[in-house]
Amino acid sequence: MSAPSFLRLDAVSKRFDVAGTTVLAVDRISLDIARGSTLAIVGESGSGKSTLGHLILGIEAPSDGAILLDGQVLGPARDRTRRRRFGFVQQNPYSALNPRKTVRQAIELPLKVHGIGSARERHRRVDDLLERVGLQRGFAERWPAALSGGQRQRVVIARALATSPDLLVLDEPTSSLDVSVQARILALLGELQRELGLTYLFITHDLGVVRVMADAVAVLYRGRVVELAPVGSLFVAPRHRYTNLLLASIPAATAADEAVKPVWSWDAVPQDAAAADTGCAFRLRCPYAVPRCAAEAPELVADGADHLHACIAPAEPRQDFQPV
Amino acid sequence: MAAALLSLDRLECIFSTIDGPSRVLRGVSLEVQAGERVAIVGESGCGKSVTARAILGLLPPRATRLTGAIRFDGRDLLGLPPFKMRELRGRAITMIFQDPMAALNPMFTIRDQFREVVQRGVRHTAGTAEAAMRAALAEVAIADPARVLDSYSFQLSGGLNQRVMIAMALVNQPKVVIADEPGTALDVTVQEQTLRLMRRLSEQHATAILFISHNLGVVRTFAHRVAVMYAGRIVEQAPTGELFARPRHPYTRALLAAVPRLAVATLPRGIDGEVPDFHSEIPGCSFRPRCERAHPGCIAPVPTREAASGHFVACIDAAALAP
Repeated sequence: MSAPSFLRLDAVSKRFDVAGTTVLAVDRISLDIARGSTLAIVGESGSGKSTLGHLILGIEAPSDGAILLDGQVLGPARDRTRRRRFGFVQQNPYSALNPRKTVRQAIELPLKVHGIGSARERHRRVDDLLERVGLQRGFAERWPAALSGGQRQRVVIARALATSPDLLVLDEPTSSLDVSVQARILALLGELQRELGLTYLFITHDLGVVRVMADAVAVLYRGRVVELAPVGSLFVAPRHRYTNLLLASIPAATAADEAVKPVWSWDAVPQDAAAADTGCAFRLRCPYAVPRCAAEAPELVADGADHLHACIAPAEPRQDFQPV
Repeated sequence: MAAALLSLDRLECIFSTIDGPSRVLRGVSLEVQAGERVAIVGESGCGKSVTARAILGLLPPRATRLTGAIRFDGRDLLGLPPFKMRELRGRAITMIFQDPMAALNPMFTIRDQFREVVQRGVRHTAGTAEAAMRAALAEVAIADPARVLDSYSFQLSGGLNQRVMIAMALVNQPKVVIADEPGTALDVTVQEQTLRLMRRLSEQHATAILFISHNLGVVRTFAHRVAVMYAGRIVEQAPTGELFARPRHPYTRALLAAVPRLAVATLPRGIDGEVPDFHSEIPGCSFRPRCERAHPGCIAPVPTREAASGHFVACIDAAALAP
C-alpha cells in the first residue's frame, strides 16, 4: 500500500449505549485504503464490520478518531459530498429497493437529489447505468417484484453508481444470492472497478469470496482489527488464530481447496464461548490460547513488510502452500 | 439392498396460481436409506424446498396437486390422512429450518416450545420432560441447558438457536431429519460447526438426513450421496466422492465452478441466465437455454441413465461427458 492514502481511518471508535450499558462496536481502528483498491473487512456478525461501513458513509458519527478523505478530515454528518462520492450497496437486495418504485425511479432518485442533469439527461443516464451493470434497458420500467435476486442486486449497484462515486461500500453484496449468481455479481464488480477506477470497501463474513476480490484484508473481531495483510499473504500465512478459524470454516468445493484450509481443533473449546472482557477477546474460543492471552490485550504488531496481527500465540506461516 | 427408508417415486407437484398451473416438481425419484445422509443441491427456484415440504406434508392442500408416491417406512405418505401425517411429523420425520431466528417463536421461552416437541414423543411427566430437554441440549454441546431453556430466542446467538433447533429435531429420535439449508443464514464459522454437529449426531443415532443446499461446497464433506436438482428434476445423482471427482452433467459442473476457490486466485464462474419459470415448458433438457454444450439434439426428451455404478445422469451427452 504505497499509493497515497485515499481514505484513512485514524483510531476510529464507535460506542453505542444499549439498555444502560455501553457497547464498543468499533475500537480504535486505523486503516488506509489506496485509491482504486479493494479493502475487504471480514468478520462474524457482531464484529463491528457493518458499523465500520456506516461510519465511513457517515450514517453514524464516530465517538472518537477521524476519517480522512484525500487528507481532509470528514465532518461527522453524512453531508452532500459524502452522499455523492460514496455509494452504498446493501446486503439484501430484496429490502434495498422500494417495491412501489420502478427500477428507473430507484436509480434516478440520487440524480434528482443532487440536481444532476436535466430530465432528459437523467433518463439517458439511467439507461446507461442499466447497460453498465448488464441489464437491458427494458428493465427500467419494471417493478422490483418482477426481478430475480441477482437482477435486483444489479439495480442496487446501478443506483449506487448513479452519482459517479469514488468509493463503494459493499456490505455483504452477495451473501443472500445463489453461488451461480454470486459469481456473476463478483465478476461485474471487478469489471466496474477496472473501468471506473472505483475504490471498494468490501464487507463480508465469508473469506472465500475475498480471495479474488480484495487487495488487502482486515479481519475484525469484536470491534478490533486482529489481522491486516495483503490478500495473498493472508491466505498463505494466516497468523491470528481467528483468521485461521474463518479460513477453516470455508466450504471447499474440491479436495485441492480443502487441502489449503488451515487445521483447526474444532472440539477443543466450547463453540459458543462469549468474547472475553480482558486480554484477547477471542481467547475463550481459541484452542491455542496460552495463559498470557488472558493477562494482556494484544496490540497489532508487524510481521513482515505489511502483514500485521494481534495474536500472542499465532499460527506458524505455512511452508507447503504456494498461491497460484 | 433393503427397501429404502424414504423413497420418492416420480413425484410431481403442480401449484395452482393466479397465472395458471405451475409445475414445480416434474418427476422426482430419490431414495434415502436408514442412517444415510443425502443432499439435494441446486439454485433457488429448482424445487428443493418444495420437495422437502412435500415429504413433510406441509404444502397448502387446496392449491397443490401431488402425484407419484412418497414412501416412508413402508407407507405411502400421500395417501395418509392429515391426522396420521401429524403423528409422523415431529416424531419419525422432523425438520431443521434455514433461519432458526424465524423458526422459533420470540413470545415463548425455549422451554415452552421444546416441551411441546418432547411431549409429541414418549409420555412424559414434568420431571422426565425437563430431563429429556436438558439431555438433548447437552448433546448439541450446550454447556448450560437450564439457562438456555429459560431464555427467549432473541436472547440467544444465532449459533445457539441453531443448536436448539437441532436438539428439538433429534429429541424424539426420528428416523429421518429434513434439513433445509441449516446455517445458511448464519456466519460461516457457525455453519461449519452446525454441519459437524449434525454429521456426528447422525452417525451416533443412525439418523438419516435429507439435506438441502444451494452450495455444492457445503455438502462435499457432509453427504454420502448428492442429488443435483434443476427446474423440478434431478439431473444428476451419485455417491459424493464420485460426483465431485467425475461430475458429468453440465449443470453440476457449472455449479461446482461457481464456488469460490481457495487454492487458486481465479474468479469463480457464474451461470448465465436464470432458472426457468415453473409455468414455462421447455422441450427436452430444461438446462438447454443456459448450457454451453447445448446442441439441437438437446430438444429431445432426456432419459436418465446410469453412467457408472450408482451415478445417474439426465443429459443426452452423458456418455460423451465421461471424465
